[in-house]
Amino acid sequence: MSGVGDDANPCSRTAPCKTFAGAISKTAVNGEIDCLDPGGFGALTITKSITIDGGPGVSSVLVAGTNGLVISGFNANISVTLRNLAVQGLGPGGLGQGLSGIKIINAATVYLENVLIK
Amino acid sequence: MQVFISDSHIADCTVGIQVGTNGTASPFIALSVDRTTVSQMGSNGIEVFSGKVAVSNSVINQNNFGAGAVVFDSELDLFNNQINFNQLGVDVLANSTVRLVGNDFSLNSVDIQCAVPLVLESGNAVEGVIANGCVLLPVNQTTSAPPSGASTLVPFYLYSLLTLFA
Repeated sequence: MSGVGDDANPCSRTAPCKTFAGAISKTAVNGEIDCLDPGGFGALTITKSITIDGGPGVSSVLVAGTNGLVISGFNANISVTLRNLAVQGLGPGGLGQGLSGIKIINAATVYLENVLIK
Repeated sequence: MQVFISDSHIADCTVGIQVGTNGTASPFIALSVDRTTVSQMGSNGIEVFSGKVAVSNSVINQNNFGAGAVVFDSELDLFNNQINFNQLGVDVLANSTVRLVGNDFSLNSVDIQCAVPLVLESGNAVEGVIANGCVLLPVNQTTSAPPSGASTLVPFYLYSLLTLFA
Protein backbone atom coordinates (compact mmCIF):
# COMPACT_ATOMS: atom_id res chain seq x y z
CA MET A 1 0.00 0.00 0.00
CA SER A 2 1.10 3.53 -0.71
CA GLY A 3 -0.49 6.93 -0.67
CA VAL A 4 0.72 7.30 -4.24
CA GLY A 5 -0.13 3.76 -5.28
CA ASP A 6 -2.68 2.55 -7.81
CA ASP A 7 -5.24 -0.21 -7.43
CA ALA A 8 -4.44 -1.33 -10.95
CA ASN A 9 -1.03 -2.38 -9.64
CA PRO A 10 -0.32 -5.89 -8.35
CA CYS A 11 0.17 -4.52 -4.80
CA SER A 12 3.85 -5.43 -4.74
CA ARG A 13 6.72 -3.62 -3.05
CA THR A 14 7.58 -1.76 -6.24
CA ALA A 15 4.02 -1.38 -7.55
CA PRO A 16 1.81 -0.80 -4.50
CA CYS A 17 -1.94 -0.39 -4.37
CA LYS A 18 -3.83 2.74 -3.37
CA THR A 19 -6.71 1.50 -1.21
CA PHE A 20 -7.36 -1.29 1.26
CA ALA A 21 -10.30 -2.41 -0.85
CA GLY A 22 -8.05 -2.70 -3.86
CA ALA A 23 -5.38 -4.57 -1.95
CA ILE A 24 -7.45 -7.10 -0.07
CA SER A 25 -8.74 -8.79 -3.20
CA LYS A 26 -5.11 -9.43 -4.20
CA THR A 27 -4.09 -10.72 -0.80
CA ALA A 28 -4.33 -14.38 0.09
CA VAL A 29 -6.14 -15.73 3.11
CA ASN A 30 -3.90 -15.33 6.20
CA GLY A 31 -1.81 -12.82 4.24
CA GLU A 32 -0.70 -9.35 5.24
CA ILE A 33 -1.22 -5.88 3.82
CA ASP A 34 1.57 -3.45 4.73
CA CYS A 35 1.58 0.29 4.22
CA LEU A 36 4.81 1.72 2.86
CA ASP A 37 4.08 5.37 3.57
CA PRO A 38 1.36 7.63 5.00
CA GLY A 39 -2.00 7.92 3.31
CA GLY A 40 -5.74 7.62 3.54
CA PHE A 41 -6.59 4.16 2.30
CA GLY A 42 -10.37 4.16 2.57
CA ALA A 43 -13.02 2.06 4.25
CA LEU A 44 -12.94 -1.71 4.03
CA THR A 45 -15.04 -4.78 4.69
CA ILE A 46 -12.93 -7.76 5.75
CA THR A 47 -14.32 -11.22 5.11
CA LYS A 48 -11.23 -13.43 5.51
CA SER A 49 -8.32 -13.95 7.85
CA ILE A 50 -5.79 -11.20 7.27
CA THR A 51 -3.34 -8.78 8.88
CA ILE A 52 -3.27 -5.09 8.02
CA ASP A 53 -0.23 -3.21 9.26
CA GLY A 54 -0.13 0.55 8.82
CA GLY A 55 3.61 0.55 9.33
CA PRO A 56 5.61 3.38 10.82
CA GLY A 57 3.77 6.22 9.07
CA VAL A 58 0.26 7.54 9.53
CA SER A 59 -1.93 5.04 7.75
CA SER A 60 -5.47 6.24 7.96
CA VAL A 61 -9.03 5.28 7.22
CA LEU A 62 -10.89 8.57 6.92
CA VAL A 63 -14.67 8.19 6.64
CA ALA A 64 -17.80 10.29 6.91
CA GLY A 65 -21.29 8.86 7.22
CA THR A 66 -20.19 5.24 7.06
CA ASN A 67 -18.25 2.62 8.97
CA GLY A 68 -14.48 2.60 8.86
CA LEU A 69 -13.51 -1.06 8.93
CA VAL A 70 -16.09 -3.82 9.02
CA ILE A 71 -15.07 -7.37 9.93
CA SER A 72 -17.66 -9.81 8.70
CA GLY A 73 -16.36 -13.29 8.04
CA PHE A 74 -18.42 -15.70 6.02
CA ASN A 75 -17.92 -18.02 8.96
CA ALA A 76 -16.85 -17.47 12.54
CA ASN A 77 -13.38 -18.90 12.07
CA ILE A 78 -11.49 -15.95 10.67
CA SER A 79 -8.71 -14.15 12.53
CA VAL A 80 -8.00 -10.49 11.82
CA THR A 81 -5.15 -8.31 13.06
CA LEU A 82 -5.24 -4.54 12.59
CA ARG A 83 -2.04 -2.80 13.60
CA ASN A 84 -0.72 0.78 13.45
CA LEU A 85 -3.83 2.32 11.95
CA ALA A 86 -5.86 5.49 12.44
CA VAL A 87 -9.61 5.38 11.81
CA GLN A 88 -10.99 8.90 11.86
CA GLY A 89 -14.06 10.91 11.03
CA LEU A 90 -16.53 9.27 13.36
CA GLY A 91 -17.83 12.17 15.45
CA PRO A 92 -19.50 13.56 17.46
CA GLY A 93 -16.33 15.38 18.35
CA GLY A 94 -14.39 13.97 15.44
CA LEU A 95 -13.96 15.22 11.95
CA GLY A 96 -17.28 13.94 10.67
CA GLN A 97 -20.27 11.80 11.46
CA GLY A 98 -19.30 8.28 10.63
CA LEU A 99 -20.88 5.25 12.24
CA SER A 100 -18.53 2.69 13.78
CA GLY A 101 -14.80 2.97 13.60
CA ILE A 102 -14.31 -0.77 13.59
CA LYS A 103 -17.45 -2.90 13.44
CA ILE A 104 -16.99 -6.58 14.21
CA ILE A 105 -19.87 -8.71 13.03
CA ASN A 106 -18.38 -12.16 12.73
CA ALA A 107 -14.91 -13.47 13.54
CA ALA A 108 -13.10 -15.88 15.83
CA THR A 109 -10.39 -13.51 16.99
CA VAL A 110 -9.68 -9.88 16.30
CA TYR A 111 -6.52 -8.07 17.42
CA LEU A 112 -6.30 -4.29 17.46
CA GLU A 113 -2.79 -3.06 18.21
CA ASN A 114 -1.79 0.58 18.24
CA VAL A 115 -5.02 1.70 16.64
CA LEU A 116 -6.46 5.21 16.85
CA ILE A 117 -10.25 5.40 16.54
CA LYS A 118 -11.55 8.92 16.56
CA MET B 1 -15.61 -14.30 19.46
CA GLN B 2 -12.50 -12.91 21.11
CA VAL B 3 -11.31 -9.36 20.63
CA PHE B 4 -8.00 -8.03 21.90
CA ILE B 5 -7.26 -4.30 21.95
CA SER B 6 -3.87 -3.04 23.07
CA ASP B 7 -1.84 0.15 22.92
CA SER B 8 -4.69 2.00 21.28
CA HIS B 9 -6.52 5.29 21.60
CA ILE B 10 -10.26 5.61 21.14
CA ALA B 11 -11.73 9.08 21.40
CA ASP B 12 -14.49 11.40 20.26
CA CYS B 13 -16.93 8.71 19.19
CA THR B 14 -20.50 8.20 20.36
CA VAL B 15 -19.55 4.96 22.16
CA GLY B 16 -15.95 3.89 22.41
CA ILE B 17 -16.28 0.13 22.63
CA GLN B 18 -19.62 -1.63 22.43
CA VAL B 19 -19.91 -5.34 23.10
CA GLY B 20 -23.28 -6.79 22.21
CA THR B 21 -26.51 -4.88 21.87
CA ASN B 22 -28.92 -4.13 24.64
CA GLY B 23 -32.00 -6.31 24.41
CA THR B 24 -30.65 -8.41 21.57
CA ALA B 25 -29.15 -11.87 21.93
CA SER B 26 -25.55 -11.74 20.84
CA PRO B 27 -22.90 -14.40 20.33
CA PHE B 28 -20.54 -14.99 23.22
CA ILE B 29 -17.97 -12.24 23.20
CA ALA B 30 -14.80 -11.92 25.21
CA LEU B 31 -12.95 -8.62 25.04
CA SER B 32 -9.54 -7.74 26.42
CA VAL B 33 -8.43 -4.12 26.56
CA ASP B 34 -4.91 -3.29 27.70
CA ARG B 35 -2.87 -0.09 27.69
CA THR B 36 -5.62 1.80 25.90
CA THR B 37 -7.26 5.18 26.31
CA VAL B 38 -11.02 5.54 25.97
CA SER B 39 -11.94 9.17 26.30
CA GLN B 40 -14.24 11.99 25.33
CA MET B 41 -17.18 9.95 24.08
CA GLY B 42 -20.55 11.46 23.30
CA SER B 43 -22.10 8.71 25.43
CA ASN B 44 -20.41 5.83 27.26
CA GLY B 45 -16.79 4.79 27.02
CA ILE B 46 -17.34 1.05 27.17
CA GLU B 47 -20.72 -0.67 26.91
CA VAL B 48 -20.98 -4.40 27.54
CA PHE B 49 -24.15 -6.38 26.98
CA SER B 50 -23.92 -10.15 27.39
CA GLY B 51 -20.16 -10.46 27.29
CA LYS B 52 -16.98 -10.84 29.30
CA VAL B 53 -14.61 -7.92 29.32
CA ALA B 54 -11.25 -7.32 30.99
CA VAL B 55 -9.76 -3.84 30.97
CA SER B 56 -6.26 -3.34 32.35
CA ASN B 57 -3.62 -0.65 32.51
CA SER B 58 -5.89 1.74 30.66
CA VAL B 59 -7.32 5.21 31.01
CA ILE B 60 -11.07 5.77 30.81
CA ASN B 61 -11.71 9.45 31.15
CA GLN B 62 -13.57 12.56 30.10
CA ASN B 63 -16.71 10.72 29.08
CA ASN B 64 -18.71 13.70 30.23
CA PHE B 65 -22.09 12.64 28.93
CA GLY B 66 -22.17 9.04 30.09
CA ALA B 67 -20.31 6.40 32.01
CA GLY B 68 -16.78 5.25 31.66
CA ALA B 69 -18.06 1.68 31.60
CA VAL B 70 -21.58 0.24 31.60
CA VAL B 71 -22.29 -3.47 32.00
CA PHE B 72 -25.53 -5.40 31.65
CA ASP B 73 -25.83 -9.17 31.91
CA SER B 74 -22.05 -9.35 31.73
CA GLU B 75 -18.79 -9.74 33.57
CA LEU B 76 -16.32 -6.88 33.76
CA ASP B 77 -12.83 -7.03 35.22
CA LEU B 78 -11.09 -3.72 35.80
CA PHE B 79 -7.44 -3.99 36.78
CA ASN B 80 -5.06 -1.13 37.36
CA ASN B 81 -6.95 1.51 35.38
CA GLN B 82 -7.42 5.21 35.79
CA ILE B 83 -11.13 6.00 35.65
CA ASN B 84 -11.64 9.70 36.07
CA PHE B 85 -13.36 12.83 34.83
CA ASN B 86 -16.41 10.84 33.73
CA GLN B 87 -20.01 11.71 34.40
CA LEU B 88 -20.25 8.25 35.95
CA GLY B 89 -17.26 6.00 36.45
CA VAL B 90 -18.74 2.52 36.34
CA ASP B 91 -22.44 1.74 36.01
CA VAL B 92 -23.34 -1.83 36.93
CA LEU B 93 -26.76 -2.84 35.69
CA ALA B 94 -28.70 -6.06 36.14
CA ASN B 95 -27.23 -9.56 36.07
CA SER B 96 -23.68 -8.35 36.07
CA THR B 97 -20.51 -8.91 38.01
CA VAL B 98 -17.70 -6.42 38.26
CA ARG B 99 -14.30 -7.16 39.73
CA LEU B 100 -12.17 -4.19 40.66
CA VAL B 101 -8.49 -4.48 41.44
CA GLY B 102 -6.13 -1.58 41.91
CA ASN B 103 -8.04 1.08 40.00
CA ASP B 104 -7.92 4.80 40.56
CA PHE B 105 -11.35 6.40 40.65
CA SER B 106 -11.22 10.12 40.97
CA LEU B 107 -12.93 13.27 39.81
CA ASN B 108 -15.98 11.48 38.44
CA SER B 109 -19.35 13.00 39.26
CA VAL B 110 -20.25 9.54 40.57
CA ASP B 111 -17.53 6.93 40.79
CA ILE B 112 -19.52 3.71 40.98
CA GLN B 113 -23.24 3.11 40.64
CA CYS B 114 -24.70 -0.34 40.72
CA ALA B 115 -27.82 -2.41 40.80
CA VAL B 116 -25.87 -5.40 42.13
CA PRO B 117 -23.04 -5.75 44.66
CA LEU B 118 -19.54 -5.03 43.51
CA VAL B 119 -16.74 -7.39 44.40
CA LEU B 120 -13.64 -5.55 45.51
CA GLU B 121 -10.72 -7.93 45.48
CA SER B 122 -8.04 -5.52 46.65
CA GLY B 123 -7.45 -1.87 47.25
CA ASN B 124 -9.07 0.64 45.00
CA ALA B 125 -8.71 4.35 45.36
CA VAL B 126 -12.29 5.58 45.34
CA GLU B 127 -12.32 9.07 46.65
CA GLY B 128 -15.67 10.19 45.31
CA VAL B 129 -19.22 9.00 45.38
CA ILE B 130 -20.52 5.44 45.62
CA ALA B 131 -24.17 5.49 44.70
CA ASN B 132 -27.25 3.33 44.74
CA GLY B 133 -26.43 0.45 47.00
CA CYS B 134 -22.98 -0.66 45.92
CA VAL B 135 -21.19 -2.79 48.44
CA LEU B 136 -17.46 -3.19 48.13
CA LEU B 137 -16.22 -6.46 49.56
CA PRO B 138 -12.68 -7.61 50.30
CA VAL B 139 -10.88 -10.53 48.76
CA ASN B 140 -12.70 -13.84 48.47
CA GLN B 141 -15.88 -12.62 50.10
CA THR B 142 -19.02 -13.84 48.44
CA THR B 143 -21.46 -11.27 47.29
CA SER B 144 -24.74 -10.68 49.02
CA ALA B 145 -27.69 -8.48 48.38
CA PRO B 146 -26.88 -4.86 48.95
CA PRO B 147 -28.73 -3.02 51.69
CA SER B 148 -31.62 -0.92 50.60
CA GLY B 149 -31.46 2.80 50.80
CA ALA B 150 -28.26 4.74 50.91
CA SER B 151 -25.04 3.46 49.52
CA THR B 152 -22.52 1.61 51.63
CA LEU B 153 -18.78 1.47 51.35
CA VAL B 154 -17.11 -0.98 53.68
CA PRO B 155 -13.36 -0.47 53.88
CA PHE B 156 -11.26 -3.56 54.00
CA TYR B 157 -10.00 -3.04 57.54
CA LEU B 158 -13.49 -2.32 58.86
CA TYR B 159 -14.91 -5.34 57.13
CA SER B 160 -12.14 -7.47 58.59
CA LEU B 161 -12.93 -6.20 62.06
CA LEU B 162 -16.61 -6.89 61.58
CA THR B 163 -15.83 -10.37 60.36
CA LEU B 164 -13.50 -10.96 63.30
CA PHE B 165 -16.12 -10.02 65.85
CA ALA B 166 -19.02 -11.63 64.08
